[in-house]
Amino acid sequence: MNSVFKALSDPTRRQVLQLLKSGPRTAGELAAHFDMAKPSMSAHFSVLLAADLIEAERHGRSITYRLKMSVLEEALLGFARAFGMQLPPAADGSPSTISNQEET
Amino acid sequence: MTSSDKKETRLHGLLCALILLLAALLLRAATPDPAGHGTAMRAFGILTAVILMFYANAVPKRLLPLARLRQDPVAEQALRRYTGWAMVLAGAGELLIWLFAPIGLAFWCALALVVAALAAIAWKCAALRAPHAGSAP
Repeated sequence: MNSVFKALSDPTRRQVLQLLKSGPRTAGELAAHFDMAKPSMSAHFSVLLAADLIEAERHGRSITYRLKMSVLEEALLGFARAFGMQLPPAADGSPSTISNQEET
Repeated sequence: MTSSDKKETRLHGLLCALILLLAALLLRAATPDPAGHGTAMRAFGILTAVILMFYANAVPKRLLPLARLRQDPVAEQALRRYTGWAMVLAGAGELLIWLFAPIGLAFWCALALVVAALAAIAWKCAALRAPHAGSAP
């Protein structure tokens, strides 16, 4: 559960999950929504995969991500979005957020 | 079977045993004293509602292998999420009914709520299927 809270604490990862709610998307399609370097996006995807909130499927050279959230985890995501839950950078240990379209 | 699967199977086995034990205890509590029948029924209703919420919560996650069938990933995901939410909310409503409604009404209200949730899921299935039926050659 700790990994889920860690994953949901970052606005970029929350926005990735929000984008995936409309259906599976490739890594490139997801990355196009963020002004962020590819390694940073990959790190965010890794955190979400480790928390078991998304699933990755490789098709040739592209990777398709799809949502893998329970109802409780979705409710937590909604709660985190509503109240802007965010861990301090040191506690999070994830790549810094360059663009935050969700909070604007 | 991985060690994680084995652990999960053991957990579900334990949960089933707990449910059976609680059901047996409630039955025993209800039998000798007719006055205790209502309490036992209410407790069993609460147990049923909690079990419904527990399993419905996991539906969107556990049924993910269906997504790999690739019929229509977007519709499949929408239906999976809708089913999970509908059944969890039905379970929460059922829990409140068994906690607070008069015992004479509780069973029928809880049943109506779960049937309504199942009807809503069936409606969603039909709604998601409709555009494809129209586009078929």
